[in-house]
Formats: sequence, C-alpha cells, structure tokens
Amino acid sequence: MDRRLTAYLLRRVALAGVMLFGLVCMTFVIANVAPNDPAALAAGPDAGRSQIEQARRDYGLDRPLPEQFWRYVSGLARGELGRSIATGRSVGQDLARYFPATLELCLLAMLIGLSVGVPLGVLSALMKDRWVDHLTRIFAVSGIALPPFWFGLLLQLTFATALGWLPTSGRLSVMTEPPDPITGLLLTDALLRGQWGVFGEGLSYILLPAIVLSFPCLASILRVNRAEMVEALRADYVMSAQAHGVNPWRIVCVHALRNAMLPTLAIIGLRWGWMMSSTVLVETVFDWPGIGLYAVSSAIAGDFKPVMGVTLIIGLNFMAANLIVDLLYGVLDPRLREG
Amino acid sequence: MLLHATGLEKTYATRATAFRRASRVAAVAGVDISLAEGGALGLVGESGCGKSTLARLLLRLIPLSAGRILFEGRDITALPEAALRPLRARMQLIHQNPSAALDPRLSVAEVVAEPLRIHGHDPRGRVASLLAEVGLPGDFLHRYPHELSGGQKQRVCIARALALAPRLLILDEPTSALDVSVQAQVLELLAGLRAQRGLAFLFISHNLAVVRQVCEQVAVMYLGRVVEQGPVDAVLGNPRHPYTQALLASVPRLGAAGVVVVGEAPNPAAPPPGCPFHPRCATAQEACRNGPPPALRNGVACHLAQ
Repeated sequence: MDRRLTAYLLRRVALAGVMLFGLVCMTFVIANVAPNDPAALAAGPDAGRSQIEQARRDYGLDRPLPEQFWRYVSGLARGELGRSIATGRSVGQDLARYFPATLELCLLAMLIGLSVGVPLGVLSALMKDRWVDHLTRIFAVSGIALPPFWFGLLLQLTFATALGWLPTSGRLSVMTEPPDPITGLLLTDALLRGQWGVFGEGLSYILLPAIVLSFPCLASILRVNRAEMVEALRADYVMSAQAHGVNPWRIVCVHALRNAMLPTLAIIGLRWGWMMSSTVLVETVFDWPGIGLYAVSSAIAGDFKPVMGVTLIIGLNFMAANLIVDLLYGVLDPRLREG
Repeated sequence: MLLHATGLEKTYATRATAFRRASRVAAVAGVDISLAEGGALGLVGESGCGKSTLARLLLRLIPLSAGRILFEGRDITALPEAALRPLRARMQLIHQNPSAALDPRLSVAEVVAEPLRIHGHDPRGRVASLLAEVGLPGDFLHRYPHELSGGQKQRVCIARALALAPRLLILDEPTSALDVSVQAQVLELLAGLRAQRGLAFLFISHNLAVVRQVCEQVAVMYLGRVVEQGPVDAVLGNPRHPYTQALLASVPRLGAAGVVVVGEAPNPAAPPPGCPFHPRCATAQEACRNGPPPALRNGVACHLAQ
C-alpha cells in the first residue's frame, strides 16, 4: 500500500474519532433537555418528594453537569449505558438482544436496494428517454416520496390481510422454535444449522418489512446510478473503448459502471445510516423485535436511558458506514489519495 | 486507397416538444472522402459543421443514415460489430480532450494495455516501449490520468491508439485543448510517428496554420458538406470558394483586410434553400438563392466558381 493511501486512511479514521466525541456530547445534551424529570421516573410513579430526592442523589443527578458528563463518558467507556426501567435489564444487554434483529432487517433491505437499484439504474441509462427509462424513473420518485409507515400498512393490507400470502407482523411464529444463535441473525443461523423450514418461515416474516425499508434506499441508488451511468456512457473514454473494439458488455460493466459506482457508493453509506433510523417506524408497523421498536416502547414509557442507547447505536452505525465508504473511496478512486 | 467513403449522410431526428416541432437535422449531408495509404487529409470548418460526426461515421462508431465506406478496399458499411473488431485495430481515433478520453480509474499501464489485451496480444514489455515511442518515461506506467499534464495525457492517448499498429489515425482536434507551447511538441511527435510508421492521418482542425503544417490535402466543410477540396497549397494559397476565402481572412494577419463573413452559421435543422452558404456570402446571385445546392466539381462547390 502506498504512503499517500495510508495517510488518507489515517486522516479519515482521525476524523471519525472527532465525530464520535460529538455524538457522545449530543446524546448527553438530548438526555438533559428531555422534559421529564429522570429522578422522578427512576423513583417510580407513587414516590414522594423525599424518595425522588433520594433517587436524584443515588443517580448522581444532583451533581454539576460537567461531573455528570464525565461520569456518562467514563460509563460509556466501560460499556455502561444505564438500566432500562421497563425491562429491568441493563441497556447494553437489551441492545445486544435487539440489535441483531435490526441488523438483519437492514442487511436484507440493503441487499434488495443494491440488487434491484443498480441493475435498474444501468438499464434505465442504457434505455435513456425510452419507456423503460420513464417507468423506472416514476418508480424511483415514488420510492422516495412514499412515507414508509403508510407503504408498510398498504403492503400488510394487500399481501397479509387480503391475499394471505405472508404473515402480518413479527419475526417468527410463536409456535416455531428459533435456531440456537450463532450470529444472532435468524436467517443466517437457520441456514448454518440446516433448518430449512425455519429459514423459509423467517424469510416470509422479514420480506415485507425489508421491502418497505429498502424502498427509499433502492430509489436513491437507482436515481444516482442512472444519472452517473448516463454521464459515463457519454464520456470520450467509452467511445475510445468502442473504437478499440472492446465489447459492449465490458464497456458498460468495466468502464462505465466502475466509474458510476463511486457516487453510488457514497449514497449507499448515507442510506445505510438513514435506514437504521427509519427502523423506528418500520419496526413499529411490523412489530419487528429490533432496536427501533425498543426505542419507541421505551420512549412511550418515558424510559430515557434506552432511547439514549439506541440513539448512540444509530449514530455509531451512521459513522461506521460513512467511514467504511470513505476508506473504500480511498482504495477505489485514485484521485482521492492526494487529499 | 486506404479509406474511401462516398455519399456519407447522418441525420438526427429531433423530437417534438411543447415549443418546437419535430425536425430532422442533417449533421453530415452527402460527403465523399478519400485518403491514400500514408496520406494526410485536413478537415477544416467552424464548430458544428459536422467534422466530428464525420470522424465517428468513418470509424463506424455511430450508425450512418446513408453512404458507403471502404476501408483497405473492403466494404465496412454494413459489417457487423464482431466482423469489424479485427479491422478496428487498424483505424484509431484521437480525441480533442485527453482528460475525458482516459478512464480515471485506470493507470497508464492499464490504459495502454487494454487494446492489446482485447485483441489477444501479450501487453508485457509492449506498453513501456509504446510509452517510450511517444516520449514518456517508464515510471509513468503506474501513474493515473489525474497526475499527468494535458500534453502527457494526450501522449498516453496516442500510445494507446498506436498499440495495435493502426494504418489510419483520425485526429479530432488533437491539440486544441492543449497549451500553445505543448501543441507544437505534440504536432512534432505526430509528424515523426507518421513518417516512421507510414500512418495515414485524417486531421480535423479549425486551425488553418496547423493543417498547412501537417497535411498534404485539405477539405473544407460547411453545414455538413464539403465545399472545397484539394492540395493544401492550392486551396489555402488560392481559395476559390467564398467560404474558404472568408476562413482564411479570419486568420489574424498584419495589414490584411480580406473578405469578412457576416452573421451566424444557419440552423442545420432548417438550412437555407439553394447554396447553404448564400445568406453569408458577399457575392451571392439569384442562382445561389433558388437553385439546387451546388455539387462539388473540380474541387469546389460553388455556382459562381464553376
């Protein structure tokens, strides 16, 4: 690996460190501007004034803000995110339990977004201004414009209630024993353990929420990919390749698509972050047992530690996705190594 | 004849919108071009006259509307792409803007090796010698296009075009995107390569001085047609078509005040009736306005010159 590439990668990682600190500050501020009195919540609904004051001292909420911040940061460093009042477990344990379900949902949604969005974008660019192109563009605009909760309800009504092809909500039927966890991702675990029936059932449950979650992501991948492909196919280097007798498949896939995929990659990073945050809506509609649903039910109960934990996870995820994209950019695009 | 094309036409259909009707634009309207083995033909004319379209037609990079192309005596007009592929090795194109002509993701070595590889040659060793031939040192192999200057990029494009030992090189304004000092070096390189390899050039330019330096023959295009054609010295020394006269007069020279061409080039979607040049011609007569467009006879397409 050459020196400039290493320098580029190090710069990106350092920048991510700065962003991480910002994220920690943000979650702390959010928790402190929340309208509820955390001490009153911790003490319980029937607590009297003295019990609330006792809780305030127990949780260190009577300390000055800088000290509270320090305790929050050092707690985070030890992996302590506080305790959930509703589940009675530590937020860390809860997140470890719910995050794999969300991750699985997002991974499948991203897979759908990429495997449909990229080929449709290429097709649309090759058929520019013909009816195929018009159709895919209408499809893309609707994907960005549809609110996910509404689209989710629509799919539930059609495929679960009216046609009865797929289950309405949940991750697996209550009668089915989930496979013993290996990765925590139900579908992967079922595959690894060779439980085909469970795999099929899990797939039927995850399909609708994954489609709903993938739709905005698919649409923006499609739009960016189409625009970049149109641009690349018009470039002189494509004509040069044609003049050398390079076959059309190689021109489209190697020259045009490789260049068009760079901006598409940036969109993938952003969309991955947004996708995690829209799980809050999608998981609620489909009763999917992930961190989105966990955050919503905790927020309704006024239980703010889990909300902070989920916010932190979603933020971390956003950062990680963009860091990975930045690093990939450095490897893939020779122009970026200059800095 | 290395390249012999007759009656080449390219028309584009524009679609109707709310503001204009559908129409047909003739970018190339009946052009005959001949180029001998090792010869150099200059193609001049203002922008939009169809020079670049003609270049692409001749290389079969865009479909033709009418006409016939013979390359090395073989009719390639309707040859399917697969059958055309081996011939593509012997006819190559150099673009005006070398920055756009190089895939930004490929290193110099990969750029030059690609044509060799797809035609089944082993690129090892060949790439470095091609770079040396265009005057680039071997340590350029692992650089990327963005790390090169305009002149260096154009040299890489030339090396890539030479990789398959072509007989014909079509150069579409190869120096007009470069700095003046670099232009001379690239022209010198091209002249040297032509002499050594016996290449034939179709040299597209709007710079008459460059055409005079590089080419033996010249064709002047106006609105998709060749209006004057012949040896460089005769055409540029003693122009017979009023448009050629105007082009020459537009070259700034000390103490000269020649014919001045007035107005804009007409819209190719609605060309004027008669001779297409008559609205801008100082000597136009009745026949020029109403008669059929003049055909190229004795090297000039003008009612008055014949």
